[in-house]
Amino acid sequence: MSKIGIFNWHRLFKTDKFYLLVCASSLFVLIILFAITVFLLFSAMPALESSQTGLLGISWYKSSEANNILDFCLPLVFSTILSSLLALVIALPVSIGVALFITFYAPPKLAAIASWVIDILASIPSIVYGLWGIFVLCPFLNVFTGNLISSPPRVLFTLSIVLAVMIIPIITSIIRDIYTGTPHLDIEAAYGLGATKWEMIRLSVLPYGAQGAMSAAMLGLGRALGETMAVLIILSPGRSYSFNIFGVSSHQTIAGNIAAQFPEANSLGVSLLTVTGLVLFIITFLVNWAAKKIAKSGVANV
Amino acid sequence: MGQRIDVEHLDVFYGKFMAVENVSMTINPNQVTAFIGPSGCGKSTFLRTINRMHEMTDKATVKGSILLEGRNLYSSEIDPVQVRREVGMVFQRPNPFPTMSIRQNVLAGIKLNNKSLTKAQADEIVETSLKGANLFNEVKDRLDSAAIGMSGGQQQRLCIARAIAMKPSVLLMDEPCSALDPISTLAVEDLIYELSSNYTIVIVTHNMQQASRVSQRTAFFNISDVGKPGRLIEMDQTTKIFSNPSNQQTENYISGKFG
Amino acid sequence: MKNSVFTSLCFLCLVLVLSGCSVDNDVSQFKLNPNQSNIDLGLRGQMAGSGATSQKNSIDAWKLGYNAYYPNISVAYDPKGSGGGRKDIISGASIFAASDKLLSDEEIKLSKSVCGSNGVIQIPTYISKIEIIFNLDNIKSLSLDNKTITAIFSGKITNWSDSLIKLQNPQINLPNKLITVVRRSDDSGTNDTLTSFFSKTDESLWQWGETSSWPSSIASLSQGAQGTAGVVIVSSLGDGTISYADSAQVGTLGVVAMDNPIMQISYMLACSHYNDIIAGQFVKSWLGYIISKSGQELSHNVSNSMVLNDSQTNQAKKDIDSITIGKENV
Repeated sequence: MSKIGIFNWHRLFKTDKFYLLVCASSLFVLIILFAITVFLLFSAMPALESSQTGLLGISWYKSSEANNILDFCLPLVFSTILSSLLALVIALPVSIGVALFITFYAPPKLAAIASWVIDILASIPSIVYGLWGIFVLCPFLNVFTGNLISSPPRVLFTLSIVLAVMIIPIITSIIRDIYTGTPHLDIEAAYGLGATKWEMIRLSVLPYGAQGAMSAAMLGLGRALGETMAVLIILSPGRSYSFNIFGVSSHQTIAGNIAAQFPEANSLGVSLLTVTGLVLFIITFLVNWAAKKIAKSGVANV
Repeated sequence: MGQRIDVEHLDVFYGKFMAVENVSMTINPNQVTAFIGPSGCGKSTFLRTINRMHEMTDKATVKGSILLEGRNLYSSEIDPVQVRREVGMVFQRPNPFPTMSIRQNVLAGIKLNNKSLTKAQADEIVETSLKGANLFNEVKDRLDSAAIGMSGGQQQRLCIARAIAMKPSVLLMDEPCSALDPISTLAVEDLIYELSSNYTIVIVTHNMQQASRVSQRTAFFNISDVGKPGRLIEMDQTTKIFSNPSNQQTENYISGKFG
Repeated sequence: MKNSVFTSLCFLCLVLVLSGCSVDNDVSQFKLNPNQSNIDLGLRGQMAGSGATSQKNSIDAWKLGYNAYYPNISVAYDPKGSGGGRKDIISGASIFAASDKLLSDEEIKLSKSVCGSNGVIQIPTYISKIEIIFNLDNIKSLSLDNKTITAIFSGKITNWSDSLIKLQNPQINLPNKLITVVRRSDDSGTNDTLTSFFSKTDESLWQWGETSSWPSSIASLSQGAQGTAGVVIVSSLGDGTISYADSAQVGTLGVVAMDNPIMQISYMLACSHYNDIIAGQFVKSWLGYIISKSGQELSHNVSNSMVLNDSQTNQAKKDIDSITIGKENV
């Protein structure tokens, strides 16, 4: 009989109702994942099986001048990953900074207000960020870029800034919670050696929070990868493998492309869009797998 | 190498609440001084004022002064960070930095001061400190492995090595063996004895036998009632405190009548 | 600056519902005088249609006009886009639809199973002008001939101070600014019309024929935006932009004066056969009203569309008469 705490878990677990409930919940999640995968594969089939000639019946596929489905998808994949990674590179340091400020530097009242503001920002719908991007950020940047890049500057750079602004709140609130949980013992160890506050953060807080920060970053990256409305409004779409983030009409993300073409797409077109959706699905898996690998190797190293 | 500490009329406050009242004492260099007393009597609180660690708590303040070889640690020119580099501390539970190796842990404090150490210098410091903590022979083959992979006793000795790598003049120990098994406790106590010839050591302990084993002088603290501040009752040679104390409260405590 | 902010705010509502909500039109100012004998109280029911955003303003007006004669019919129109409208009429979800583009062969084939053996009927009901619009300093109007316009959109002329533009507008002080072309990035009937116009004007300049999707080889020379509202907003936000939009939605942007305006034809879609008698009677009367003189004039007043000419009206009448209802001629 296993007794942990005041409950007799053994007996409780074996009770039919509880056991079924727990099992059902777990199965539910797995089933949903499975169902989504099946749906994507099923819907994508017509496009995957179609010949090049068949696909040329889709007007936007034709004008993309792609040679096959892979050729069609790859520039989208490139832009999606580029814009999201750039957004993460901008967002992560800012998020860590804000989290450290709230947890270790701000007076309690200011910290409470800052936390509250972050939580509110996290819940703002993405289309609002998109509107902010086109009506506020673009004209603002236009003052500096003027005739250098297109007017208004609806380019990947601007999009990445907006994406970064969108994902900062989520990453910050997760990291803030992690940093707050830094074991007091580790903090004392650093101070006891004569560390300043920043040195203590470097010694005790950042290493402790590294794995959690990685997870938070992956969560933020996921949101950036799937962002649709902001892309639709801000980014002027195009197809290329250009790293020039200031080049106009050079990039389009998978999600943005789906939203742009879906309303007018015929059934083969919808199927082709689903193929790109499937690709995005796979990218998300790969990103998660890579993140776990990196996190594991970080811990095992020591 | 150890330095002398003079405490003059020290009061410790948390906000408006006085936790410790009017402590004055001399702590001799190159000796082990033990602080004993019942729970909540303020001995740990007082210990932490010696390296200004109490300032980590919100609104913790002191009145009075603590002199390290004549220098007042609480004067306005002195930076608490600097104090902690000269007065080292070992805590109740071993706390090596969990993401670092044994070697990195030993060097952690040093690296705060001098960022640039040659490999030779670093290796030398690691070896000396670990030897000084009686740990070197056990771990010399795995200096790059995780610090938290060691046993509790080894981790605590690592923390001691880390502290003495800084070459402090004083070593404060806040119940360093309370989380350790008897064998590890013995090892640490032997270590304390060896270190005492080169350092000023102050150890807070709940264990009276430990105090009598390890220290040359003992200070007994007590608290008169709940909500009242703790006070220094008696301080003297360890042998005297435990055989023939001058104060009745001390006598009651060591004979187990309370505490 | 103030101008563009005002324009932006004006079009804010349009963008918020990208499916194409529009500002309400007050049509009561236009007098409709049905006499007692014209009013039919017997035809009653809810009729659902969907499709293009371009005809929305006119459809709103037509609803009111139609209700004056048939007060017990309530018409609901969902402006989800031409593609959505075509899908709905083929699936039977809508009784009528509006589209900027004709159905493809595949779509017509699909429609034959639901819409009668002759499939969907497509009747031109809305002819609007496509304006070439621009945002350049405070210039309200420019003269450009067709070849110049085609050259600009093909990326051959890149600066507003180009000699060709100066030649056609001698009194206007043209600044040295890059021309930013703003195109429709969605699949749009307007793109069809425009690219067809370019092809007809000069095939050596515009080499990509008629297409509803902007060719990607020159896409990088221009900016793309979603929907008519999108191109108008982006043009307003940018400096030195040139674009194209239905004349009803041009706002305060500058307009190019052209000799022969570019006309876009929008269609109403109906089934060639309705099993449901009420639905069939509705569609015939609805379409009949729309192509009538009063219907077309109402649309002209509200959306600035062009009234159908006689041959278009006659053809439409023939098509409407060919719709069969119930058990007739099946």
